[in-house]
Formats: sequence, structure tokens, C-alpha cells
Amino acid sequence: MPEFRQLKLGVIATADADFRRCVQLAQRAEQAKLDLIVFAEGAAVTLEPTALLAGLAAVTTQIGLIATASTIYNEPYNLARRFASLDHISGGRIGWNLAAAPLADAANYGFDGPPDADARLARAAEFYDVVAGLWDSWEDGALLRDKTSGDYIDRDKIHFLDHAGAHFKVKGPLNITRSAQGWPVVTLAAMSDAERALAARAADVVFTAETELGAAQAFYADLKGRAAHHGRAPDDLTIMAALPAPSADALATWLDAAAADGFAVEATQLNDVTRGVIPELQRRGIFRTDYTGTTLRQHLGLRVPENRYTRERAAARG
Amino acid sequence: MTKQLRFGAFMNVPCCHPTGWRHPEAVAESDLGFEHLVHLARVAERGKMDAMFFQDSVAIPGSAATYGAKPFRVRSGRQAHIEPVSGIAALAAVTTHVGLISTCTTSYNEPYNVARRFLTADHISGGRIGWNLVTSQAEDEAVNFGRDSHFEHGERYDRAAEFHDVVVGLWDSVDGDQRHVLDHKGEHFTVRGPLDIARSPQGRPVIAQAGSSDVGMELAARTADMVFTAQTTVKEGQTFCADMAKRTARYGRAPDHVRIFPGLMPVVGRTPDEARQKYEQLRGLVDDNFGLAAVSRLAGGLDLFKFDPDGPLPELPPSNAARARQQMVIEMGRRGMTIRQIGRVLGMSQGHRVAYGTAEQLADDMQEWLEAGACDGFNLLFAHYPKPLEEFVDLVVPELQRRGIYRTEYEGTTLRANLGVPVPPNSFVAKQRAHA
Repeated sequence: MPEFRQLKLGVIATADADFRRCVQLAQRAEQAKLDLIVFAEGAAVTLEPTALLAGLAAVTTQIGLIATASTIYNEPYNLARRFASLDHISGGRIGWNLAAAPLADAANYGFDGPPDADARLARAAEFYDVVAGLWDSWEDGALLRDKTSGDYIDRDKIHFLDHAGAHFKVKGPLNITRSAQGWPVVTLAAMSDAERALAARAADVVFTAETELGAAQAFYADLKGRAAHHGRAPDDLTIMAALPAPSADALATWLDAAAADGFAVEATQLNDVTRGVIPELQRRGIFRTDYTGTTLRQHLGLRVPENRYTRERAAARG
Repeated sequence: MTKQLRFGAFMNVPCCHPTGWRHPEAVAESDLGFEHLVHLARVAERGKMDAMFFQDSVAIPGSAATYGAKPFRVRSGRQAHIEPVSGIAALAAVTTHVGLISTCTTSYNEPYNVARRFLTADHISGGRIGWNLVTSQAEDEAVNFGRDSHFEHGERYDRAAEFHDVVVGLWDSVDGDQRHVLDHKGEHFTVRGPLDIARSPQGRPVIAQAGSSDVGMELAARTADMVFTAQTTVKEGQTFCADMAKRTARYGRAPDHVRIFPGLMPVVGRTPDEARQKYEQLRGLVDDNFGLAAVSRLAGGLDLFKFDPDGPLPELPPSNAARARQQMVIEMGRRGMTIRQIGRVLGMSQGHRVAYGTAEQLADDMQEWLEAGACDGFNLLFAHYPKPLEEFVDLVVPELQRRGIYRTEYEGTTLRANLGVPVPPNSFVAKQRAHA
């Protein structure tokens, strides 16, 4: 165990139109031992972030890779299997940055405009439940591949979700197993009360927009408190802030003051952070000098989510 | 130059033979292990193959049906797999020449999303991506998308045709610095555009299709660069190619701009005896129940399990699923094959042709098809992975190269260049010219 509490570091990027530039950025972040890189949508000419992640997963080995995908204009079955597939390709280094807001123009999907904020959050919450449920479709040991018996699967360990809700009706099961880290990491940018409520129960990583220490401390306490109501331990939720001037002193102060567990820096700040800040953080013993795990959950110190069906089975057994 | 063979390597990992994963040499972990896909890609690229072709379904195949009163085909190897658009985008980053084609359904997706994802993969690969446009025909897929049953055959193809037009329109909507508003308003989709991704390095990703029904062939004739089909004799292949050529011409397209790839499962041995033994071993792995279930799926709702498996095939009501495939089964019945025998054929190679022999014999076979105008190449099915692909590349490919009917180097770096199909003119530019 490290002597001091470790801080987490990520870089926020937009999916550049040039794949090679995205590779260079991801590899630089990996050399700097960062936890993760998040691709947001935004640039005028860009690449689709989940397909981009697939390409990056093939040419990186350690860093966590996160793509933003909206719960509007997507189907939960499609997104669940896509992120699970990326997680298999990468060996368990993937995260889904869940966006309840639309990332594309409604006019490209036959709508006049996006749903209002309340409707968006309600849809996002149900979307998440379906995705998480599908991710548990296969219990460990369901895939037998037993050449002697001839059974490829243990059908008793594969489960139908049979979800029927206000927005979605999805039977399942998902056609892919859990990954090396169980599920992809779920991240969320939370501001409003409804976003915080969803983040507290669903997110592994929460990005806060607070840049003042006091406000960030309040946000941190609020989120960890809400998470506790869902039976989650403080460490089950990583809160990341983005500071305008991320000096080693500032990051250490925020970490000690329970204002954040980690920090996201802009791609444009990466050089400065790598040269000036990270060596100092390492000297203080609060940032890794090398990766100690292989999955994103291991980097972040997050538990592998327990499979709900395995848990029920164990509970039934007493 | 002599007419050249082309190959697609069908990546139905871990096996095209439904129970081929039980073969002692089979690596069943190729279903989910990306490192195995990378190895297969390197072998396909070493064999100068045009493309790797990934099948897909948006469900565990057979999960909605019941077998022995329980769901799931437990003995089939096709259960869990990597979503193939993600798979090809990842492979694109670690290969340099082989084409990468992924299936993606038009039934349960939005065209704007599909257009973006394939075009992104195309940029990662430098122009080596293809989209195998399919319609979903399985109940187990429908129930994952809020539907109780899948779309009817005609509606499925209507939607697919419009879906295609929107995707291609979006791909054309960005051309250098120019942005074109698509403003598509159709029966199934309303999409404004333009796309936010630059134009493809190969003009447009390649379009592949597998429909061999009348409506499927019509769509392919209008839109496809490659066609996958199940043809079992040279004569059938010739008829299919001639039919496609006639249809293609009606759309003002040159027939050789639509490359036709019948499916073929090659079983190669170093001697005729060894090849036959390998073939027998694979036949021995066929699970009769699975074979019968495969026939049943094409029986148009008739429960074939109620019939004597060693008796003749009864008359089948029309199927809402794969029509062309059902016709093939009916033909086998007419030739006097029993239900069990038909099941063993379908059960080994998904209804595609199986050929076994030495490299010379297989080369003779394929050369005959090529020279008879019965194909442009073959979509190769492998009973399991990776050994049969490795053997094909190491034994058969050199023989074809020696005969001068197969490339020794890739012609170009894009899939279009290697297939020899043209870069289509930008539809917006063509329209502007027409108005000028």
C-alpha cells in the first residue's frame, strides 16, 4: 500500500479529426502514467469517439480510455455491447462517459429538438439501468468452451434482463461476456440535482465543474453522502475536478481538503503537467511512478462490480 | 491480364462450422480474444486477401427460440463475440493492407450513427473499410429493441434501401471544405446532415451485401460493391452472376464493379487422403440436433422436429426469414435428401459449399469457377480458427499465385483499389453538375 493517499490524473481531449494525433496524445498520457484519457465530442470536424477508442485500444496497453456517448439517439442494447466490446479489446481499460444531453443535432434523427432536461434525465437513468443489467447477462463461468462435453455455454448462468420500462423494452441477454474489469467504468459530469442523484448511484467517476475550493468541498461531501445512501463506500466513487492552473501545490491541497480525488487536465496542459507537476507529485509520494494494475478500475482503485445474478444465487443459498 | 481471384476471409469466430470449436486444433478463445483477431488479420494480410469479413447479430443467436424446452443453442460456438464495427476499427490501427468489412444492421440503428462510425473506422484504416448492409430477420434480435417480432421482409428491405441512401448521402456531405446539407425526408428517416467527419480516403467505404432474394439482389445491383452469396455448383454461380450483371446494367453500372463472392469452406490436405480424413472429421463433429434446428429455421414456421428426420422434406410454407436460403433447402429436398441429410449439410457450413482436397485440387476447383464466370472470388468460411486459415494461406495461396490467378502484392492501400471497384462520384457534385 502506498504511504499517502494517491491522486488520480486524467486528460480531457476532443476527438481530433486526425487519428495519428489522437494516438500521439494517448501514448504521451500513457508514458506519463495517467489514469485515463476522456474524449468528448465537440470539434467541427472530428472522429466518432467510440470507434476512435477501438483504434486507440489496439495501440496502447495501460491507459484508461473513455468515450462520451449520449443516451439520446442511441439504443441501450447497442451501446452496452459496444462498450463491453471495447472493454474486451482493451483488456478492461474502457469507460463510458454517460451524457444525458444530446451530442448531435436532433435534425439528424428526425426530431425537431431534444427532450427537456427532466425527460433527458429520466431517459438517462433508465438507459443506464438497462445497460448495467445487460452487462451482467453472463455470470463468471457461463462460457464453458468444453470440448469434451460439447457444451459451449452453461445456459443456467446466462440471464434474460426482461426489462420493460417507460422508455425501453429490452429482453437480452447481451451477446458478450463481462470483461477483465467486470463492467466498463461509468463516468458522468454532474451539476444539477438530478444529475447528482444519477451520479451518486450510477457513476464510478464524477467530473465536477467546481473550481473554487469551498464549493468543490461541498460538492464532494454531497456526492459521497448521496452515494452512501445507495450503500456505496466513499472510495467507490472517484470525484475529479479540473483546475485552471493545476500546480502540484494546488492538486495536493485539494486532495488533502477532500475537494477531489483526482484531476482532469486539458490536452493543451499535458506538456506542462508532465514536465513540471507530475515529478513533484511523485516526489511527494501522491502519484504513481508506474502502473500497478492493468485495468482502469485497478488504476482508479475501484472494485469489480459483483454480478447481480451471482449475488442472488449466493443469497438464496444463504 | 488473366482474370484474378479475390478472397474474403469470413470471420465468424470461433467457428463457421457451428460445432467446429470442438476440433482439437480449434482455438475457441478466438470468439472474444482480440489478440486472436490480430493474429488472424496478420495471416489474412500475409495471404494478400482482399478483406476480412465479420458477421454480426444483435442477440445471442437462438436465444429467443427454445431447444429441448430451454433457450440457447448450448453446443454452438457462436454465442458471444466482439461487436464488429469496434473490432474492425481496432484492427485498422494494427494492419496496413487488408480490407476490413463489418456487418451492421439497418433494422435497429440510426443512419447518422452508422455513417459516423464506419467513416471513422475508414479514416483510422486509411480507406480499407466496408459495410455489410443487412436487415435483421431474427426474433431474438427484435426483442432487444422494443419489438415483439422482426420487420416483415418487404418493410425490412424498404428501410434498408432508404437507410443506405441516407448513409451514402451523409458520406458525400463533406467534400474538402464544402459541406452539403442532405435534407433527406423519407418514409423511415428524416436526416438533415451534413456529417461532421471528413470524406473517406477511398471516396466512400465499400458497400457489401448478402441478400440473394429478388428484392435483395435488386438492392445489391443498385448499391453494392461486393455481394456475398451461397451457390453450390458452377452452373448456379454462372446463373447468379449473369442475373446480377443484368440487374447491375439496368442501374447503369458496369457488371465488374459489383464483385461476387460465393461462400466456400475449404478443407485442405497435403494429400487427397489427408484432405478427405479432415473432411470426415469435420462431418463427424456435426451435431444432428443442431443440423435439424438449422433446417427448421428455414421451414417457414413448420415444426420439422415433428417429422421423421430420416424421411423426405415436407412442403414448406414461405419463410419471412432468409428467402434465398430456404429455396436452396427446398432444392435439396427435391434432389431426394432426407431432413437429417440436409441438416448435416447446413450444420457444417451454414449452407455454403464445402470443398476438400490438396492445394492443387482446390486451386483447380476455384479456377474452374473463375474461368466459367461463376464468381469473382470466394468468401472463405473456416470450420474453426486459426489453423484452416493458416493452411489456406500457406498451401493454397502459393499454388494460385504460381498459376497467375492471384495477386502476389496488393494493388493499392485502399479496399476499393484492391477490389478494383471505382471511387463513386460525389452525389452532391454530380447533382450540381447536372444543374449547371
